[in-house]
Amino acid sequence: MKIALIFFIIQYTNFKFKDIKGKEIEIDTLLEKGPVILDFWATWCNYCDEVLDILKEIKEEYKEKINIVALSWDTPKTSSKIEPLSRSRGWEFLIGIDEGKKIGKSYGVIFLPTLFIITKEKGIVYKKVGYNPKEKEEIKKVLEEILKEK
Amino acid sequence: MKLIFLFVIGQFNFSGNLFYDFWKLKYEKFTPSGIKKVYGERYFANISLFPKFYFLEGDFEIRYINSPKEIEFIYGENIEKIFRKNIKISKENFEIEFFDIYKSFGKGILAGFVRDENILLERFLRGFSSNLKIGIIDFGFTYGRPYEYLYYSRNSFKDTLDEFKITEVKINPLPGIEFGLYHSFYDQNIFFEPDKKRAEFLGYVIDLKSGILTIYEEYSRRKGIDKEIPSDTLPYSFSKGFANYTQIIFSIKEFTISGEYEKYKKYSTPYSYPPCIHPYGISLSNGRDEEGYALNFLFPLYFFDFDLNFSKSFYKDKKIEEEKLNLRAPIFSFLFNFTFDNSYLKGAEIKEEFKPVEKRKERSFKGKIDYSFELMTLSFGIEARKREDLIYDTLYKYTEPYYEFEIFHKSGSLSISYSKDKKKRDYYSFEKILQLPKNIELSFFYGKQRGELKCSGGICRYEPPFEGFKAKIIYSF
Repeated sequence: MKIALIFFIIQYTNFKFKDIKGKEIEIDTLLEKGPVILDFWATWCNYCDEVLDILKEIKEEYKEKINIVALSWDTPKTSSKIEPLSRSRGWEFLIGIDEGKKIGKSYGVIFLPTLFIITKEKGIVYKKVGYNPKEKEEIKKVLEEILKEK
Repeated sequence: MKLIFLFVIGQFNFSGNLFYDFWKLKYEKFTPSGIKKVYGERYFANISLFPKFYFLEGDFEIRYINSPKEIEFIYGENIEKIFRKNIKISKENFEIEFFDIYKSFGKGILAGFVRDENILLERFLRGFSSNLKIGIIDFGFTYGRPYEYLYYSRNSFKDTLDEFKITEVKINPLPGIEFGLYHSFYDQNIFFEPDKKRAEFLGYVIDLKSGILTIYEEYSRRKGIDKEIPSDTLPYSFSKGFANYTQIIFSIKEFTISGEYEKYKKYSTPYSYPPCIHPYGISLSNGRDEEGYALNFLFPLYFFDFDLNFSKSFYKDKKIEEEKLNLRAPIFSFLFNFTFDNSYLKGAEIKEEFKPVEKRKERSFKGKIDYSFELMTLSFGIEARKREDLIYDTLYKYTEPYYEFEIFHKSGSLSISYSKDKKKRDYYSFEKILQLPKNIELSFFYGKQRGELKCSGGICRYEPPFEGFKAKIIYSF
């Protein structure tokens, strides 16, 4: 039983996506460098942009120690706002489109925003559904524990 | 053997959501002594599971609804039980998914032209969706057909979807460059007609992204049955149509200008609507004949982020025009958000209390101020909407105010709102959301909400009025 528990980790699904400049990126490659925050959002979703503002602050604090990936559920029509929005809000992390919501589905995402923190060793270590302006502290707490173990 | 077994078990994992919603609501009931307002209860339970084992992924959903018959049509869901199962196999460059309810009819390449994210299900559709990538080319094929008829529709006389097929090819020669071709058809069973009718689509997509310029172009031709297209002779005659959507975005540093152009000719279908450039998301003609353009400017100035939008749709003497300005400014611990909106509609498909609105002039202002303390954030919002509606040659002028106050804390939020409609009826709501550990969210709502059009992501839906109490629990794992 103990051995079963050791092996039973919440795995992540490796995937590739295209960022807003059309470059293809694989999540496994990012995980080699450190923990990844994966956020599912959309331009039309209430408060999703506020979560990305929080992630911007976290990226400024942790810099190269973490990677942030924000995958949008926008359609080709509504996705026109993604790049201009990211420029004007200063979101200096990877932003892409989850075409057909495939990646989100494989992560069991139903509601937006949904955020995961993933590590190579332990898989998904944190999941948050919805928005709260105070969630920055929660995320930082998890990141500190992960980086301490490294 | 035990170790192998345990290792295999260890490679299996799943995530999911549990959702339970309870309403105690007031509704109108026909009684022998006339229509009376009574209280009733509605239960909605939903479990979604997403198991994974190597290259196998599952998507299972069990749903149970119990509500009074009188409100089934109002709230749009009247199937008592649903058990949906999707299984996906993905291996490197190939994947195939078997489904028994096709919730997203159409693929991304078709954009909004042949896709309705919220297709009303008249039948359970069984089929598969597959994708194969060879080098720079992506091949996709989707097929579905009904296997069991279920009565699931707001309108019992609505026609039903039958067999459908989608074939697509996407080519990605370089990063930022994508071309796509697609062909699809669907069959429709028409109420009172003996034979199925078919609608067929052929189109292409061009998507080009460079550093400062983005071009997106989509074109689709339709031929065949479309009940929405009025005809000179028979209602279901053979007809042709097309839809074109172009978007160009020019972006330098923080300044962005984007332009959109659309044109539709006899392109509406019961299962999809082309993308709309105006927020109402509705047609100017039953046959979906429409032309329009939109311009959007996004730029920062001092503390503010400006988002300025002009849009116009027209068809013959009908039109929808809108100017909208959104200002956003984070200043110290404050966050300001203001929106000014001015719109004019003529001959658009809108109704007020079931009466058609021939013309509408609308001006609205929305303001929201958030202030963040260390432990909480306070948010105050105000909205005022001034309307002039012309209905059956009578002009109705009214102003509707709306106020909202919210408190956010890491444990959840509390929000209170109040508004008045044109008949001076009061609407109010109290909502408390608790975010508990382990991704459990509890929410409680009490109040009275009006029925109104709510727009999100270019799609507008009518949300029916509600009066009563709601309790909801969501657990994500």
